[in-house]
Amino acid sequence: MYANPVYEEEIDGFTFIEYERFAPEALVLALPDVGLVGAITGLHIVRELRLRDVVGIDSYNMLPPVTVIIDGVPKHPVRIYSTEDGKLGVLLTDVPFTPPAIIAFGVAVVRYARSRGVKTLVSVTGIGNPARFEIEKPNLYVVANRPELEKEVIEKTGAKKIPAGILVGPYSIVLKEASRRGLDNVVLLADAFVDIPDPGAAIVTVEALSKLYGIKVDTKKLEDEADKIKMRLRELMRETRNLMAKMGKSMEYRPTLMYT
Amino acid sequence: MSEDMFSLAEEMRRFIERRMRELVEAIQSEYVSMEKLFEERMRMLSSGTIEPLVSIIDEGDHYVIVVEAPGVKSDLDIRFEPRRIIIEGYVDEKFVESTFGDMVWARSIRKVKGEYVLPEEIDINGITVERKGSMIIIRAPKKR
Repeated sequence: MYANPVYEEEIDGFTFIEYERFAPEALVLALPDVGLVGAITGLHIVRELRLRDVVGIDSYNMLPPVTVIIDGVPKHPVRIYSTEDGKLGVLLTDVPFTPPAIIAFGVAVVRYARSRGVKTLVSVTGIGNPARFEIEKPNLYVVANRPELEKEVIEKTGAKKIPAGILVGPYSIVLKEASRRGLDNVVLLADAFVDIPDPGAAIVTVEALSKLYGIKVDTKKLEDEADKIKMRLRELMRETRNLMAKMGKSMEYRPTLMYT
Repeated sequence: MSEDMFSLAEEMRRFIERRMRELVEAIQSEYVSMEKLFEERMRMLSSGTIEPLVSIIDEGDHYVIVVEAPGVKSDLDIRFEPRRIIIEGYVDEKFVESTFGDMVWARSIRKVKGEYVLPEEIDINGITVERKGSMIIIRAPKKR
């Protein structure tokens, strides 16, 4: 583990340990969820752009006792990576959050982002589509907490608006908390398998992030190494699937009351 | 006045402690379900067999069963019973090596095997199987 953090703060049971000062304009949240689209997206951007981890996030109460070893270096299970210019951060986690921890984490990450002057939180995930196996290029959808922001994302990425639906899980907490605390939040969703890791869907979200934040990320590896990614992530997918069932993810697949 | 404030503060402290305790207990109970996963992974390690990830989609008159089998050799054996699908095959050794590299625990993976129970009976004679990359797509009409 790196020595000598420059700053440490505890928020809602989670400790944010900064190894470098961190104040990006946008923070991408790449959490394990439907098709692991967010996790694959975040991991790919971190690898392709060779981002460095600048913040470790941990909780001895709400996360399992995990230390992750990366290239021989011990790390926290949840980490924020930063681009060279410090304008974009990517949050990755090696452990999926349990339903009770999701709420605390959602609130904590929004409070932390606000304290660091982050303008936009970008949540990346999949939207379960039963016909995914027939779709070559998954559709991209967007939900945002400001109409102007939603319009901007649609114009830049060609994403479709989601007129009605239910969002379940950590991103729903982030969306509500960000609105409450005056932060922009964009949720990018790509058609995906619910319970199979979906690098094809991640290609769509990586492309969208490239357009939105001026980063150049080649997606060829996601295509070429899709089989390996699926094999490596199968156990994380199974853990995530268990937790999705418990957090009431099935509610995403029914109409809202107002739609009825 | 100060006594009231003191007892209020004490009450708040107890409340926060209780909520924190409840939260920690709830979180710990979630990881109990990891026991099943642990058992399965231990079996995987000792037998070198993994279970393919499968998505079962109910399309009304038929099921679509998507089996994700990366690195699995083409001679995959798929057997059908009226309410059950059994999948068995071998994973390419080189694929495992190049996928997991130095991860010692994964080196033993050689085989895939899974048994999946369907909610309704299927018509075995009407089944079609298609391979699309690492995916095996099985269309199984429901028995009328």
